[in-house]
Amino acid sequence: MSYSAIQPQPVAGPMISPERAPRNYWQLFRYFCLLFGGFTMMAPFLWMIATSLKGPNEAFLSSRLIPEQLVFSNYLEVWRTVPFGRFFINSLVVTCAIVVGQLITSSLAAFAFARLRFPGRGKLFICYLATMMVPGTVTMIPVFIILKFLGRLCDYQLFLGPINLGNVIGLDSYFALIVPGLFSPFGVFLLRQFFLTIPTELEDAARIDGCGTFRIFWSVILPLSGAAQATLTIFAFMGGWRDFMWPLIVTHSLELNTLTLGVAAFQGLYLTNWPYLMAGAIMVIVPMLIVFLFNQRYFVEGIKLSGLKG
Amino acid sequence: MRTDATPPASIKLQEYERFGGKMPTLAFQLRLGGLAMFACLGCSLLVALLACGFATQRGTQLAGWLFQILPLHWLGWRLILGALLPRERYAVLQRELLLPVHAVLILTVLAAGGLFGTVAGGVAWFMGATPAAAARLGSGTWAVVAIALQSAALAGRAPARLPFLARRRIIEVGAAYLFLLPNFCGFFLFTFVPIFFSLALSFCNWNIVSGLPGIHFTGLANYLHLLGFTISPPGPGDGWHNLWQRILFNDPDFWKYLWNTVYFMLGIPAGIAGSLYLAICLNDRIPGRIFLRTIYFLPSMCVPVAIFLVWRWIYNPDYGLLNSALGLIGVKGPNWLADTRWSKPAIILTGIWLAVGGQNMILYLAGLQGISRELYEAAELDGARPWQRFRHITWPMLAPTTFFIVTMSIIAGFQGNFEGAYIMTEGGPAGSTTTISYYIYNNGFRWFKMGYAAAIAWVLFLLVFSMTLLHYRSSDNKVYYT
Repeated sequence: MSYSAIQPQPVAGPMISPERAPRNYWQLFRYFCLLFGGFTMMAPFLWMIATSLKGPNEAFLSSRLIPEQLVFSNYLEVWRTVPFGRFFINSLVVTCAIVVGQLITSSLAAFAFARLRFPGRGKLFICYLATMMVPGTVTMIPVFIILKFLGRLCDYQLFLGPINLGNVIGLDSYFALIVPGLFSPFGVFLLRQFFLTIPTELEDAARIDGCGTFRIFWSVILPLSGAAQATLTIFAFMGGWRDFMWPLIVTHSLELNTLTLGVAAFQGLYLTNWPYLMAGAIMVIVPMLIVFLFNQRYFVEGIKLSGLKG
Repeated sequence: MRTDATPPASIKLQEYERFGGKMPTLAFQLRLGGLAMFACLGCSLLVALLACGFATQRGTQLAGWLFQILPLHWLGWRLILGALLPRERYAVLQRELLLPVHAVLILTVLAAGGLFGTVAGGVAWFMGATPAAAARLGSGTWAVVAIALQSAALAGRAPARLPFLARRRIIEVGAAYLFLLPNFCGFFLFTFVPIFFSLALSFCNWNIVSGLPGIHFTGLANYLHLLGFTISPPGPGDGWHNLWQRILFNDPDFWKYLWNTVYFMLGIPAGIAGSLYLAICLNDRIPGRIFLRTIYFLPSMCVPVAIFLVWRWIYNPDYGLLNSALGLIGVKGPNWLADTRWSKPAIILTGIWLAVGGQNMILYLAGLQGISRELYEAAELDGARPWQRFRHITWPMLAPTTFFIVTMSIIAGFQGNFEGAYIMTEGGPAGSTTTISYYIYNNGFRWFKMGYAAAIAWVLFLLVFSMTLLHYRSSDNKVYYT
């Protein structure tokens, strides 16, 4: 559409025409407020980066932002002190599996809740919602007991050459790290709310064309829910990457620890190794940054979710 | 086309040649298939017996009962029938009868068999068998029951076709359950069952160090304790008549921590409003919006341990960033985390810092993509000002997203500030920053009173559930979907 005939008056607020620069002083002021707010957000992180570059003697005591000597070797020392590479691979594998599993199972279940009619739909959804309200600390112990019971059924250990992969099933295994995180009522709730906003006329048109239920899910609903799937990816990745208590409870062999456990190892009982801790924490952020940058392009303005005319 | 030839009860395969040229009836075809099916089922039963009775390796047992129900049965029936029947007749049979009815039938008998198997295994475990033997018994029962039911159902007459709408309804409901199945299996095993286990636990006393045998049933004692009074155990000569003499009042910490939790939830509306404002601002194509979105989302991406340690330093009264900045202006900042008057606002500030660019902003960004541009263009043509555009277009179209965000915020707010209390304040000066989450953790994992912790968790759950139900009911007529 061209705006050559109708020129809208410069107004403050959400801009509609795709110009990139602010058009009056009010918008410029808002932009600088945004930048200032961003700097406030960044301030603790700037201190984190500064601390990670400090030597061991001035970490906590000085409130200077720029350290006296820049110790870049802190980052290397973190890799050498604990098996950081193994922790990184563990976290990556576990989190990717959790993300993929949550996307698949939550999409299927959310489609059933949003678009299909079956007896017990309302009550079951309320059950899903209700289980989100129970604090996680309380369900952890029973799941621990269930996994211990499963582990007694089969106690083989997996080895890939010299690499210890833990048990097959039960405690201290990748199964225990991944599988309880695959089923998230939060994902089902999120995707159901999103699927409800997709107009039913699309589904009716597909049915007239002869689509079965799964074909409607695969070809109509899934492509339209790109933004919601990207959102769920970000959330699931964050949940899996930052999880601390569950790997702490479930694993006790060093080869199966995840990154969060590795970083927390720098906080000892009497002494906290601040530079290593901050260096480790900053390295832990990087993959999440990558996932976030990759997924947030789905939020680009202009994706039309409504496929109908208009 | 049907023929009136009635075949004898036992038919041999070579006699099928005699019907060459005429189309046999559906019932006959099913009986023929049923014979072949019986052969397959017989083999399956044998394998099942071997697997559950005589197996020494657990892997064989697993393979045994996985192997024989579906693939052999299904494969056997299709292979034999597909080989024997004329192609077009088999196609008609497959389309009209095999797929819908058989699929529903298999699911039903699997479910029934699973139920029987679970009950049998549970009874065996309860009566003292080892878990492995109980699992073997359960899976064997499942296999036997499934095979028996399927044989009984299919060896009989051919079932009459249901009317069209009933068939469609069965298929639709079956499809819905199939969609739900993956998520529901895991949800049931890892969320539903543990929750009921913890409900049972809340009526017991359990010191987790003593393992599973240490669970003692105590009735409502945990709930009474958190309400504020205890009933001392009856001595000799005591009974119901002097119950009121045995009531002791203890210190109801629970109510103080509940007040802390509700106080921390006061920061939620500010956080949600901030997220909404940020999402609207960052939705425009301003230069550097990807950079700004990442910056605002950074706090949520970082490990909570590191974040709260950093904020503990920021609030440090001598070296902290906040007091240094205030000192530049000339204000002497208080001891933030150790002063009972300032600890709560300090935690609220940290919470807002964490939440404003976090998940809510992402959700609002995703929701804003769903508002079509034509609405704004039409409003601008009609001369709407920005605030009117927000109030009449943006806010109503974001209603489902807002509903979701407010629900999740209520749920998360009641369970909030666990890491903050754990890392920053250890419960705060005189318990002023302890929330119910932290109280549950202390009781369960530090003082090993799992039963009491479960009781607190369930009271919290009831609170959250009623608040969410209220919210759901009150917004039922305000949130609308296309």
